[in-house]
Amino acid sequence: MAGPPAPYAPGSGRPFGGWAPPAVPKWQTRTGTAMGAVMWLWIFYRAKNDLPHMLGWEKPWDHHAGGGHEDHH
Amino acid sequence: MYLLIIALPLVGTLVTGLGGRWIGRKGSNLFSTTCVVLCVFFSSIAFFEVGLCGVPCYISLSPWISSGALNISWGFLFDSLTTTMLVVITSISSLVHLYSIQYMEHDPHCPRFMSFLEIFTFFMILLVTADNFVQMFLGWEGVGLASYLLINFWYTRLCANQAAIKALVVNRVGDFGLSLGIFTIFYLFGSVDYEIVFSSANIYTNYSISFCGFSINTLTLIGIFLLIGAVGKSAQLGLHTWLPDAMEGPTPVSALIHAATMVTAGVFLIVRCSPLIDLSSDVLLLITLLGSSTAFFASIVGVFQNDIKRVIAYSTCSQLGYMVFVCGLSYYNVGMFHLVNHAFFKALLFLSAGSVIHALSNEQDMRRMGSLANSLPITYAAMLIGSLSLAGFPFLTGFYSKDLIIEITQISYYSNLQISFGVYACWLANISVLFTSFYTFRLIFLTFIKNTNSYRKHIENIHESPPLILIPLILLAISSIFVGFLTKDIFVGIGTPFWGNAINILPTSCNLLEVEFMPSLIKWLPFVLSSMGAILAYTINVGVLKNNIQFAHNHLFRKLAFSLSKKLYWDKLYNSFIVSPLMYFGYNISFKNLDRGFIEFVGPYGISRTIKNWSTKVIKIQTGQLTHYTFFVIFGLCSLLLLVPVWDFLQFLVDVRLLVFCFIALFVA
Repeated sequence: MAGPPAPYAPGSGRPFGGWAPPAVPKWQTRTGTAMGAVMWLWIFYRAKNDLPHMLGWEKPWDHHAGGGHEDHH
Repeated sequence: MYLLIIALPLVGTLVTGLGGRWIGRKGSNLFSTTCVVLCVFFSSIAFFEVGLCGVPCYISLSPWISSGALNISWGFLFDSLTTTMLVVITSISSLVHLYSIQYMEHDPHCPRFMSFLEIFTFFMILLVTADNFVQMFLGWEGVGLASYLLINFWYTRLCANQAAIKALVVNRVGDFGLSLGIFTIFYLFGSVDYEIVFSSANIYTNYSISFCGFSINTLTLIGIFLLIGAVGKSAQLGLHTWLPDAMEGPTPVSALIHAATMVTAGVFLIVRCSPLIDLSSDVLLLITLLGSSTAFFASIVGVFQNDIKRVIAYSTCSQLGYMVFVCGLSYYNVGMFHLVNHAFFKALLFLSAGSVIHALSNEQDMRRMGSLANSLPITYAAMLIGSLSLAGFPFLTGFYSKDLIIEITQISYYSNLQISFGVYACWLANISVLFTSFYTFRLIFLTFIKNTNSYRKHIENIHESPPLILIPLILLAISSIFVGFLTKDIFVGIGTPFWGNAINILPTSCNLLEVEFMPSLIKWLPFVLSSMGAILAYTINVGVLKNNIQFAHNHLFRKLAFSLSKKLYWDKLYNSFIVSPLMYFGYNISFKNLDRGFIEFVGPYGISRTIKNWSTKVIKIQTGQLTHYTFFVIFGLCSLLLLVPVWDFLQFLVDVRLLVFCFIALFVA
C-alpha cells in the first residue's frame, strides 16, 4: 500500500524530500583519504621503531652500544 | 642574500601598497607572493649556513642614532635562533599569501591586504634579525601596527574596529613594559647592543637599584620588564583578552599573526634574552607560574567556546603558555622547538577553519555545522592531522615537543627552582592536556562528524575550497606530520651544538637527560589524558550522552559553564575597574572640566571673552558729550601727575617701553 514517505531520520543517509547533498568529486575524496593514510602509515612506522623506547624497554642510546661500533676497536 | 631576506618584503609592500592601483589584483598577488617565496628560499639557505653549518653572520649597515653615550647602528644578527625564526616566518607567510589569493578574491581591496601582509612580514623579520634592543623594538611596534591594520582590514565592521583598538591598546601595556626594560638595560650596561649586554650580564648579578622605594636586583627588574612585554605580545594571562577578539580579522590573518608568528614574538624575546633571564631565579619563577596558569586557564575556557576560530585562538593562548613556562624552567631550546612545531599545526588549523567558513557561507558557530567530513574530505583530513598534532598524538609533530615539555615538568629536581613550583607547572600542564584534547576533538566532532545542524541553503551550496586554498593545507599537513620528528635531534637532541651562543643555559639547569630515566608510566600520562579527553568529547557530543542533558541542569555545572563561556569575566573586570573609570576620568574630568573648562577659561577663549565684555562696557562711555570727554582728559592728567611721585618705585615693576607701545597702539587703533 502506497503511503506518505517515512519521516526523515537524522544520520540514516536517506535523502529528504528528494533532496541529496551535493556530489563530491572523486579526486577530493581520494586526496583526503591519501592524507589520512600518510598520517596513519607514518604513525605506525614510527611506532614500529620507537615504541620499545617509549615503553621503557630500551634507551635511545642502546642501539649504539655493543652491536657493531665497539667491534671495530 | 641576507639583506635580501629583509629587503624583499619591504619592496613587496611598497609596490603592492603604493602601486596596487596600477598593477591590479593579479599583479599585486603575483608580486607579493613571489617576494615572500624568494624569502623562503633565502631563509632556507641561511638556515643551512648558520644553523646547520654553524657560521653566524653579523652585518653592520650604518649608524642610526648617536646621542651622547647612546650609539645605535642598523645591524643585523643571523644566528641559529634568528634563522629558525626566519624559516618559520617566511614559510608560513608565503603559504598564507598563496591562500589569501583565493580566499580574498572577491574583496575589492586585495592589493591593500597583500601590502599589509607584506609589511607585517617585513617588521617581523626586522624584529628577529635585530642586533640591538632598539631595532628589535622597532620591529616589535611595527608588528603591533600591522596587526591593528589587518584586524581592522574590514574597517566598516564595528566589531573589527573594537577588536583592533583593543589589540592595539592591550599590546601598548606590554610595549610600555618592554620600553622600561630597554631603558633599564641602557642605564645598567650603557648600551643596547645584544653582544655587549649579554656578554657583561654576569658582572651585574649582585647589582641592585632602588625602585619605588625598594632595593631590587637590577637583572630581576629587567627580567620583569621584559616579561611584561612578552606577556602583552604572547597573550599571557592578564593581557590575553585581545587575542580571542582579534579573530574578527580575516582568517589568513589569524593564521599568520595570531597563531604562527606575532604571538610568538614574546617567546622569542624570552629566548633571545636567556643570558639575562637565566641569571634571575625570581624571574624564572614568575615566568613558570604565569605560563602554566595561562596554559590551564586558556584550555579550560576553550572547552566552552562555540566559535570555531575562538576555540583555536584559546588553544593558541594555551600553547603559548606551554612555551613560556618551559622557558621558565630554563629549557629555552624546548620552548623554541614547540614554537616551530606549533606554528605549522596551528596555521594548518586556522587555514582549515577558514576553508570550513568559506564552504559554509561565513558560518563560524560550530553548533550550526556537522557532517562536513563527507562534503569537505581534504579539509577534514587537514583538520584531523592538525588536531591530532595539537593534542600530542604520538609520532606527529606536536607530540615531540609537547610531550617533552610535560616530561620536563615531571622531572623531580630543578636546579634553580624550588620543587613546589615545578609541581605547580606539572599539575596545570597535565590537566591542560586533558582539556586541550577535549576541545580539539569536540571541534572535530561538532564540525565534521555529528549530524548536520546547518541551514539547508548552506548545505546546498557546500563545496570543497579551490586549489590555491587546498595546496597550503596539504603542505602544512605534511609539515604537521613530519617536522617534529625531523627537527627533534637538531633542536633538543642531547648535546646538540645547533643553538651555539644563541641560547644561554646555566650548566646547573641542563637536566634534559633525566627525562630518559623517568618511569614509563609517568611518560605515558599525557597520552592517557589525551585519550581520556578524546573519549569524553566523543561521549558527550556523538556518543551515548549526546542527547542526555541531565548533567546540564545541575546548578553548579550551569554556573561554572556560564562563567567559562564568559571567559571567567576578565573582560567584565577590565571594563568595570579599568576602562570605565578611565573613560569617566577622560570625559568628565580631563575633557569637560580641564580641557573645555579651566584651560579654556584662562586660555584664548577666556581672554577673548573678557576683552569682549570690557569693550562692551568701554563703548558705553563714548557718549559724544563734550563735558564727559573733558572730564576724562582732566582725570587722565591728574592720574599722570599722581603717578610722578611713585614713578621711581613703579619703573621696577612696569617696563616703560611697554607703556609707550600701548600708548602708540592706542592711537593707531
